[in-house]
Amino acid sequence: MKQQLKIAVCIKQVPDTNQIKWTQNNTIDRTNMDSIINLCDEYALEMAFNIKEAYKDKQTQISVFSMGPYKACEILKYALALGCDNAYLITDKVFLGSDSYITSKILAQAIKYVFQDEFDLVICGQFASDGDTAQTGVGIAVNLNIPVVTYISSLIEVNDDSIVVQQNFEDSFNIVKLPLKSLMCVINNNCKLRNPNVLGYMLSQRKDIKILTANDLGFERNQVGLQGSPTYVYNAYRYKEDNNREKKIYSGLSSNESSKIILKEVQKLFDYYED
Amino acid sequence: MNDILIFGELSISNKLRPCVFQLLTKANHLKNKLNDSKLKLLVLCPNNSNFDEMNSELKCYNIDEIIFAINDNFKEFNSDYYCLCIKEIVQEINPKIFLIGGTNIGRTIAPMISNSLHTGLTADCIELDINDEKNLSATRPTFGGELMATIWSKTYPQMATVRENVFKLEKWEENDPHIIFKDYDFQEYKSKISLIKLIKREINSDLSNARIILSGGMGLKNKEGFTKLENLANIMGAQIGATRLAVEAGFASSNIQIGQTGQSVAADLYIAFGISGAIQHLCGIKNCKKIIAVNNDPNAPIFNHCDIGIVDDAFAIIKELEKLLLLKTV
Repeated sequence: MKQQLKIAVCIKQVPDTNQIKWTQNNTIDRTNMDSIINLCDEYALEMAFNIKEAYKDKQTQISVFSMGPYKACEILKYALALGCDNAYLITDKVFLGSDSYITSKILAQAIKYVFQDEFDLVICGQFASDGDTAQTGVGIAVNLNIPVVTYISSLIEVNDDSIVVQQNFEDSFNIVKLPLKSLMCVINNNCKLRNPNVLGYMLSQRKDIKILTANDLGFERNQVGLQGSPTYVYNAYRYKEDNNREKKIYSGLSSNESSKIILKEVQKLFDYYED
Repeated sequence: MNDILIFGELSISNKLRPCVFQLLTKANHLKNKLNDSKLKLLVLCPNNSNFDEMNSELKCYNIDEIIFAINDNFKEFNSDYYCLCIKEIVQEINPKIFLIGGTNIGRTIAPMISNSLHTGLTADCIELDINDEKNLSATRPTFGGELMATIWSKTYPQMATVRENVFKLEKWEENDPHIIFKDYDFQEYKSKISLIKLIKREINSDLSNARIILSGGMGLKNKEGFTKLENLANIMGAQIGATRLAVEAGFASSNIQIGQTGQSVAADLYIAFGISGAIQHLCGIKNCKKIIAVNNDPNAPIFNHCDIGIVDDAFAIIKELEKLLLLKTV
């Protein structure tokens, strides 16, 4: 029985969309917007710790990877404070503009670079709240040539060479067994997440975040970023307002007056149903 | 190689999912803009499938060719078996465009296929078109639902996923597609992933036929906020819905999520409380007859997409509505 278990967790820093303020032009006001760790990725970290705790007699090492600007060190530090053992920031200006196909390639290459072939599990969040393409995790698995299970909500049990999880699909819950050496995409299951404690923060001060660049990973400029990506944004535009709607806006009315306006619409419907 | 290929996903009861027919509808419009293009459908199914039923369901979509790839490993979903087979058939057919429903299965296999064929994929599109260069032009909401991005791909097949119920259904005159049965052989290959148990999920909060929906967003602040909305809904005889962010924050259950991720609704009256109006959400409510929005931020984008807008605190309105309704019925 193998005594060591090596887990890689991929996380992403995203704008905190819970705190969106809108400008007068209906664009997002970014001036005071915080960056946070993507929610699904918090569950990916939680899953890694759950697996570590379930494998009592194995020595588990959790390494966390993030691709992004230097600012993303914030979430890597947070992951270290939670108890991750190693942290890697994958950053290079030539990576800018990479689509999810290329992002998967870069992250997979970083995992290969750090572990060679010596890892057991890769855990990703199912999707990121900013892009929501839900492609990167699956893409990493294809690039590493390992099996992938998506939409994982919880860990059921661990065996010596496999893991059993619950997968949530639209019309079924699937209990799925996956081998060690595979990739898991984890969803938000509303379970309680752990918080870093003071000791965790203190220990994390001693851990370095290692930087990986395009050069380290053996990428040429034209293989990554906008140039290397198979897809590109041809055009981006504001979602046009809906001209079929009346857009009668009431402001400054008392709540009582406003509520009467709403009730009138409800009443109209009931009259219509009764006819 | 101007062909369009659609993935014919089956539900757990082995029926073609609604997204398949919706994609076939859209594909007909795309095909008309391409020269010499054939519309093909690929269905993976086990041996004992009801092929006659599927064929009769598929008569009215101008399909040129239906490929049934048959193997008992397709009895239930396994990403390894699915991908191996799809990849091989896609390489054989060599289509220009390959469209997949944005379901859990679709969103799992689409990136697997695109990465193994080294081609681009655009997820969760809300519009598909053919551009002047006769290529796929795929539009999707992006970045917190603020912008729409039209995405082009430099590689083939040009792949896209579209969520269920984003496209409407049309039918054409009956035709006789060419049908190919292909016994797929995995030879020695065995997937390392196995399904131990499948538990059917009862979806009891189908909002697609709801007449009045009261829906809440982050403005309802917490679970208690949704309880208040639920009370009002009970009094009014309405059903409740929630935005993705509210569901993610744990305020409401995911089976009442409305929007591109979640359900698309077509209520007679949709009242949005504390919802700012991200594109993902607006996409799911665009077929509602009347939309009323209550939000204390006068700049919230939802005010550009409603019939009546009330700039006020959601809770103040909920409380007042409750009071008025109770007074009325007593």
